[in-house]
Amino acid sequence: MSLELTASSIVVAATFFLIPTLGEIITERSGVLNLGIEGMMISGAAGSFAVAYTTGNIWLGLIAGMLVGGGLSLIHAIVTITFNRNQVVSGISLTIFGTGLSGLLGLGFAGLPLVPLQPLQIPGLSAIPFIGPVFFSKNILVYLSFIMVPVLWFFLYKTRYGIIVRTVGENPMAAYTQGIDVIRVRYLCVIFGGVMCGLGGAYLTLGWIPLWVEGMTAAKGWIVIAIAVVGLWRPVGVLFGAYIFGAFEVLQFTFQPLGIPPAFLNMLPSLTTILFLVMWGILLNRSKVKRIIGAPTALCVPFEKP
Amino acid sequence: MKLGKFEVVFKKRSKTLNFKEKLQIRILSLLMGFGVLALIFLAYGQNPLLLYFNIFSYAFFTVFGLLATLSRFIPLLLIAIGLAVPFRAKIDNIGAEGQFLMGAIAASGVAIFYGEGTSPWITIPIMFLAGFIAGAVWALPIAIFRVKSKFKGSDVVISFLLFFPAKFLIDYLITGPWRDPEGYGFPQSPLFPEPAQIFSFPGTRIHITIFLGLVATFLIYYFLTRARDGIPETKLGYEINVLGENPEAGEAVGMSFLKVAIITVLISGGLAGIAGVGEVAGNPNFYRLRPELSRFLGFTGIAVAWLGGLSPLGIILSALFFAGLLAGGVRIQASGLPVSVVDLFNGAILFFVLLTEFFLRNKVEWRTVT
Repeated sequence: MSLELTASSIVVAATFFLIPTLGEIITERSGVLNLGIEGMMISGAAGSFAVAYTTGNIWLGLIAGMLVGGGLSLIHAIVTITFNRNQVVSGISLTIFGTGLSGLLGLGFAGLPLVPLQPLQIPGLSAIPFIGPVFFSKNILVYLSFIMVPVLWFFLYKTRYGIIVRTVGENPMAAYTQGIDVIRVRYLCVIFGGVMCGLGGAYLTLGWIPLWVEGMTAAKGWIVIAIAVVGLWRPVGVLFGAYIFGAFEVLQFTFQPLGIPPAFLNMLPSLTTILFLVMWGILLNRSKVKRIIGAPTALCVPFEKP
Repeated sequence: MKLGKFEVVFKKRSKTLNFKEKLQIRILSLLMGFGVLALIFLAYGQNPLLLYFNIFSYAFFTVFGLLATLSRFIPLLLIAIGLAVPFRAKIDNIGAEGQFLMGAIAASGVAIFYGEGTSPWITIPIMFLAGFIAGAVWALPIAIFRVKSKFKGSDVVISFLLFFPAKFLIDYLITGPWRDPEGYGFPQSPLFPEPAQIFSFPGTRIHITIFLGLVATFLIYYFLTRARDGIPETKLGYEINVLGENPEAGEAVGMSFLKVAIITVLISGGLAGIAGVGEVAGNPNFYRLRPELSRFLGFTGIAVAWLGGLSPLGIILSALFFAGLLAGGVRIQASGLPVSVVDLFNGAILFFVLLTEFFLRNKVEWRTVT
């Protein structure tokens, strides 16, 4: 494979990780851990394919994917925020439920062909050698993921709403006493995360690999949660994280002929994240580091109104 | 919470519920799960009542189905009873899947390298021991991260991430060093030698691991959960309860959360490992290490543990229920639905079990807004 083609495949694979991760960091920043990524992504993938194939309109497919993701995340929000139940167990239920739902949504659509989202050449930029074909002749969701990174960075760090979200994730009681509706903030953040996961699923079946096969996300949704950790819960951080893990995804096919068993390359994302977790675990003992690492203090902690 | 003219108020219950009331609420939660799923099945043109009847009549009232149910019951019971222990200490071990696979790998190693020409009385106990140790070691980081790490959720992330190295290690072993030379290219290990095949009842897939599961359940009841007036009778059981509710308070009176966390995850990882040993070396259809060994038994085990209310007796019942659901999956396929619909049941039931936990502690009152 030529270098240009490899780099181009990395961008395509990384976008699949980046879109849901950007949603997940907002969810986690508000203090809710959603382990249901895998379920929302695969249901979004199946639902968007089914709608796009049936109606022949790819945009309706994208909207369907977002609705499926958002709808599923609403269940998680109700269980964990309104009823204050264990976020970990609820997230697991969502993953299991979503995997089951994807089988139903995609019933009868397996293996059918579909015309995917077409690449848009960005005038001017796509003519630059190497960079143009790699970054600027992709479909619209890839560009959306580029734009979302600075937008979410601005939102989290430069706007009032971003500070509210971070306060709710850091110390919900303090936010509550200042008159912030903690429950509403958390609901919105969870639903945003779900919509992005659904969109990530739709990107898989409508943009990357234009067909539906049962179980096609192959547990990659879990990697999204890992990228949020590796990327320090920061939009720019997860951009790098998603591209590194996207590179792992692509390079396993490149390195296979060199005699490295693909199984070991497949292990790289999880082993890297474990290494990072150990590092954060040690570093976070020093309080200065807390500011750099965005880990929300109230993650997984239910909030009950006094 | 306001809904139009009405206001819903949740109030904490003043007294704890007795066993009968708990059972009623749990059964109600199951029925609600089935009710919601019924709407989905109706939308897909299926008669939900007929579907439910087909699944459970097959799983519990036909000989073939009941045997399949019992063979699924074995790993589910072992995984779930193990998980109940850390869950009681509020340690979310969601990595039973990986611990299960590590147990299977360890047992396969023993079987392939030391199984030939030995006595099953020696080999099989060594396989169980190796499986227990491998699963327990795989779970150990969870305890350390739960207690020592400074950010919430790192133990959860570690516990599911450890699944991937285990899965890909199997992929590597069965396509590389442990590949069956006579396997016509199928990625699987050679057939285990006879002394490494766990004894099963003739003509069934029910192996003697089932007794290990029941013994483990009894031991966990006797040493950890046996309670008088709601307070566990053993020291360790009491420490698990206290530290689960309030680690700071427990530490203040001299309990060690790290010690209790390590003990609980070792138990759960070890039992998941034993479940892996049973699956790989007890199922007469295989006796080999192979891909697709588990298919989410580790995750289903989480649902089993919670539906059983984390109590040994409850887990036996809920493991039977979920085993029946898995075994009845063939009837789901027969009705034209994909087999993944079983996951739909697992997920929905787990959601409603969680909601039930809420209603066990709170009661709901409606009143009109004045």
